[in-house]
Amino acid sequence: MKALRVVMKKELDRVFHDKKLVFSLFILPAVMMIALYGLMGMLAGQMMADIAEHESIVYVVNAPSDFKNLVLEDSDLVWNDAAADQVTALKEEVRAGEADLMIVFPEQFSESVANFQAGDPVPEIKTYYNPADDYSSNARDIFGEYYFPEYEEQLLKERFSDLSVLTPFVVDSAEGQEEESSIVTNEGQAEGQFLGMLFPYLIVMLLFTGPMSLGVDAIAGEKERGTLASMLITPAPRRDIVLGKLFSLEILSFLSAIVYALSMIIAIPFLAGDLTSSASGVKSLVNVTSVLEIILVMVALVFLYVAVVATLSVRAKSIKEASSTVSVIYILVVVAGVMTMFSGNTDPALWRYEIPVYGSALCIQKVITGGLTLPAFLVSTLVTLALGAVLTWMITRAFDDERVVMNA
Amino acid sequence: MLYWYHPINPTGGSCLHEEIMIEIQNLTKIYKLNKKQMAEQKTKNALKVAVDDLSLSLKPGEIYGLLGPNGAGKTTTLRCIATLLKPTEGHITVGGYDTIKDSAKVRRQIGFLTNDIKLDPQFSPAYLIRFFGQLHGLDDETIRRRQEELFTYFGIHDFENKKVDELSTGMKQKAAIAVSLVHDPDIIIFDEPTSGLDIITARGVTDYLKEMKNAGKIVLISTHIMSEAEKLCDRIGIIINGRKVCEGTLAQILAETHAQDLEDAFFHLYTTHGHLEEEGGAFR
Repeated sequence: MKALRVVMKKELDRVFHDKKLVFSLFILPAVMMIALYGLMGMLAGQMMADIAEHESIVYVVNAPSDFKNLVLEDSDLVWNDAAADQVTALKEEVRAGEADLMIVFPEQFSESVANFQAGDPVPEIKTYYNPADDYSSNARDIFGEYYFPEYEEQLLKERFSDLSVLTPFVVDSAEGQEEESSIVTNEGQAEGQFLGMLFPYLIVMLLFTGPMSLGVDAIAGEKERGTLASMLITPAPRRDIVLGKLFSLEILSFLSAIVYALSMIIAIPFLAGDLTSSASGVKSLVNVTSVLEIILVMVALVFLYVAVVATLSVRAKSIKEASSTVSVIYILVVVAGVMTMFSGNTDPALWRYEIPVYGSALCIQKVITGGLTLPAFLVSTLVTLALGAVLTWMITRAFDDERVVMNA
Repeated sequence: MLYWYHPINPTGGSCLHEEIMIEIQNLTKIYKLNKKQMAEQKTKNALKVAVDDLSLSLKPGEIYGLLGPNGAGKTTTLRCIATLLKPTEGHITVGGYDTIKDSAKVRRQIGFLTNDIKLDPQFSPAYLIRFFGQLHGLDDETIRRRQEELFTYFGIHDFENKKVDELSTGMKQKAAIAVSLVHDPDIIIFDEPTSGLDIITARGVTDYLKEMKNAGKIVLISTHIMSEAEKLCDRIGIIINGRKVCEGTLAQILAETHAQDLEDAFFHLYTTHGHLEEEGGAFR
């Protein structure tokens, strides 16, 4: 066991005594993630502010006066009345970005509405906008979501005076009582939905990046450089050499994953532009049981990942060969993570938790959304640990095989 | 193939068995080639005999040199002694321990150095000698003492805290030698120990090996530098195509081959026993 500690210490020293490696493994990813998400959030915020500040240029053909009054009393957009023969030219202006929106009312629109009889054709208002242009798209959204519905309501009131005749029932409309009357959920469950979709994918994927970068070099790299054999000619048990390497890789990978996860938690609010919404989601994670469950799932997963990467690396004849095979596994890991994003709200069958990686991702998801059962947790964790143990045993056996360690 | 082998006893008498520290009996090592290796070596035979029925006995207080062209089987033989490879046939005992059954005890007794086993480039010689000392189970005081002795002898103090990656070839070789000897082994097995070294460093290494011999240790080296073998080795074994074709002191080999020097003797044996074909290959 002394040799195991000695090998483990050396592998940890390899990283922690190298300032550049510490920076690139633990600090740079965190800084990059926060900076990147912050930049994306800032740019998105600037874009939204720019759109909000923009005065929409709208051309309206055959505009009813009541509609014009409705819009202009509540808006600072640039209103232009246009004639029917300008439609073709104005379409080109919208396409060119010189105008944001053109609205064409049919001739005699107000009369058609006022004299409407059952069976008559319903008057149609046409809008012309450019979905590829943010200003144009935003102008269309404002009219579509606000002015048209309001104008429609105004006309209906004129037609029916009491709109209740058109409303057989309402759903959850009691203002101020929505949260009490409608929402029945565990504390944090609703807020956890967003993180529950995002986090499993990120954790199972990010946990793999540590073993992928460090494990290939620590085993295939050492084989290729001839430095592994220098340890094999000492009396240290080969099992200790293997386990020393694997344990140190697990520690480093776990630390790396923690850094990534914390960076993500810090960075997401910058991206979302709303510090409170994600922070409230994170609250759902902050209780002892949830944290312990997630940590145990992560530890088991790191154990498996390191064993997988080490198995492939020890069998590979070069770093290049190891990297290419590990990349294939990485794709499978990403697929398993993505699958949980679309697993819906149903409770997965217990057998799904038996699938390595996917089962762990499901566990993380259920911890966050508050639906993890003990059997599911045990099945997933034990399967992951068992598979990792089998692979670790295979690696220790491989270290006794000269064809593997000496490429003989 | 003509096989010509005259075992020559340098002492003219029988060796005391209990003195023998390395005993190789009928060592044969056969590699299985994969398709890529078969294509590289232009052969249709999936089996390559690297060492063929080799027997050797080494006693304390002697320097034994294995001589042979590239691909003759020198390094494979040394790797089998060092327990890195398992014999396909035959047995090897080191200090009375079998290299298969008691491999850890064998490794405890040997200091092994070969060109394709390297020091980790990310660490300094000072770190590595401590690391390997710990792997050999030495206490801190012993490691400090051995570090001081070896670093002083080989002049490593000046660069002891530099990363191996930043060292010159000669510095790396000195550091590798020092690290391989940290546990003061009774048996020193060096594969081409002066390869790539300047003349002064090479002389320092050969002088050290002589000191080890005088201290009663066994020194086994492989080399293809004839002058080094002439000056350094008490006995020389010449291996061609995996087989030992001649063994003895320099004088005995010269007398046996009617040659003026070892180089002539080697060429004589090579033309008699070797296939004058390509040198090198995937296995040595």
